[in-house]
Amino acid sequence: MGAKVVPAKHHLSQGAEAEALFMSIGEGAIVTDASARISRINQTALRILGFSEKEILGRWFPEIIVAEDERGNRLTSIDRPMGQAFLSGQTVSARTYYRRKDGTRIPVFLTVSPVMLDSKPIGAIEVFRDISTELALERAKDEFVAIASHQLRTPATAVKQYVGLLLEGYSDPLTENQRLFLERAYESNERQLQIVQEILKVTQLDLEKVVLNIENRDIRSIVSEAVASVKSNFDAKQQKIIIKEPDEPLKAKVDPDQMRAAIENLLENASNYTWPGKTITISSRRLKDRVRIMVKDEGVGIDAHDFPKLFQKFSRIPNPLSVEVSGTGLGLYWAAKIIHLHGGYVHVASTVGKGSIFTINLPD
Amino acid sequence: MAKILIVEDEKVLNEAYELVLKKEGYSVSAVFNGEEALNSVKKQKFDLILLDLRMPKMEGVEFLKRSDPAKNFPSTKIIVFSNYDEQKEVDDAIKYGATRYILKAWSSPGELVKIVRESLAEDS
Repeated sequence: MGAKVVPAKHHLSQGAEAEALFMSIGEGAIVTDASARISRINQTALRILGFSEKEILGRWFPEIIVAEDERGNRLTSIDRPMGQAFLSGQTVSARTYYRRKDGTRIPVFLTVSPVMLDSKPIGAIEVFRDISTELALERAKDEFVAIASHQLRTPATAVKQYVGLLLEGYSDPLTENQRLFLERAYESNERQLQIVQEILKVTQLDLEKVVLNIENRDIRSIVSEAVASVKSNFDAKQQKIIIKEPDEPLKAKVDPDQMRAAIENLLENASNYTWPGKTITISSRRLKDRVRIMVKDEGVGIDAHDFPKLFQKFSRIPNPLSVEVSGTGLGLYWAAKIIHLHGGYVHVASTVGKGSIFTINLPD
Repeated sequence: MAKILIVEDEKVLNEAYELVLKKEGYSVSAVFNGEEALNSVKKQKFDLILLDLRMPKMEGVEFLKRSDPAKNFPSTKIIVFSNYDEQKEVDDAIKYGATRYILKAWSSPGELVKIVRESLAEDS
C-alpha cells in the first residue's frame, strides 16, 4: 500500500500573511517603532519616495523623509503629523509635502495613528498617497474659475458704466421711477461685481499669486484701522465695539493691508451674526511666543459639528441670522488662508446662542 | 484744455469713457490697443493716459515698456484702469511708468472723472 496522499496545502504563517497584506496595500504605508525609526515599509511607499527598502529600514523617519509645509519650510519632528500623533495619542490626518530621495517634492495626504499596546505607544503606522494629480486638477479648476470670473467682470463693468451715465446726469433727466429702477439695477450690479471680486481674491490666493509685503508693524494700529473701516456695519446694527489692547507697541511681522483685511473680515462676520444692540470685543496681546488677536461676539454661535465647515470655500452655515446676510461663503476661507500665509493660524470657540470667539495667532 | 488718451479694447467701455470725459470738457483721443497707443504718443503729447492692461495686439504693460514714459513723456499721468488686479501686473505697470492703478469695476463715470481730476491736479 502506498503512502496516503495528503493534498498540498500552503501553510502560511500568520506573520507572513500579515507581511504580504501590508506589502500589497495600494497606498504608501510606513511603520515605525516608538522612537520613530522605520521598521516596515511597503512597495507603494518605496515607489512614491524613490528609496529601496535597504536604504530606509532602521532609519529615523523625520531624518530620511523630510516633511515640509506648503511654503517649503521643513517641519520639525514634533510639528510633522507623526510627531503630533505621538504627542496627542490620536490619529492625525493631514496634507503635507515629502522630499523624495532625488530631492523632488511631492504633496501627500496622510493618516498616521499611534500603535498602542497596553495603553502605551509602541510605534506608529502611517498611510499616505501622492496627491499631485488631485492638486493639478484643483489648480486647473481654480484657473478656470479665475478666467471665467475675469470674463464676467468686463460686461458687468460696462453695465455699471452705462447705468452710472444715466444716474449721474450724463444723459437726459430721469423721472422718479426711472431713477428708482436704475438705482436698483446699479445696486444689483455692484453686488455682482463684489461677488466676482471675492471669487477672484480667493482664486489668486489658491493659485499662489499673492505675495505678502511683510513689515514689522504695530498690530494695535492695524486693529484700529480695521475697526474704523467696518464701523458703519456696527453703527447700522447699533452694535458696540470694544477694543482692548496693551499700552506698549505690539509689533508683529505682517503684510499690513492683507492683515487689516483679514481682521475686517472677522469683524464683519462678528457683526453679521450678532443681533442688533449687542457688543463685539476685539482684543490683542503678546503671548510668550506669539501675538494673539481675538474677536469675541455675542452672536448666534456655531455648533461644534459645523466648525470644520467654517473655513471651507463656499460654505455657509445656516443659523437664525444667515438669511439676513448675503455672503458668498468665501470670507472666512480667505481670511484663514491669509493668516496661514503669515505663518499663523485661526481657531474658533463658540457656544450656540451665546456667541463665538475667533482667535488669530501670529508668530512673534 | 487737458488732453487725454483712452486706451481700452472694449468698445462699449471705450465709448463710455470718451463720452464722460468729453462732457467734462477734456480733449479726448480714443484707441483700442497698445500698438495704436504707441502711434498716438509718438504724434502728440497727452496730459493723461487712461490705460487698460489686457488688450489684443499689444498689452498695456508692453505699451509702457516700449513707450518708456519716464524718458519720453515724464509729465504725462498714466492711470492704469484695468479689471485685472493680479499683483504682478500691478507691480509691472507701476515699475514701467504707471502713476496710478484703479480697478475699473469699482469706478462709476463720476468716480472716473474724480480720479482724472485728482491726477491732473497733482504737481500742477
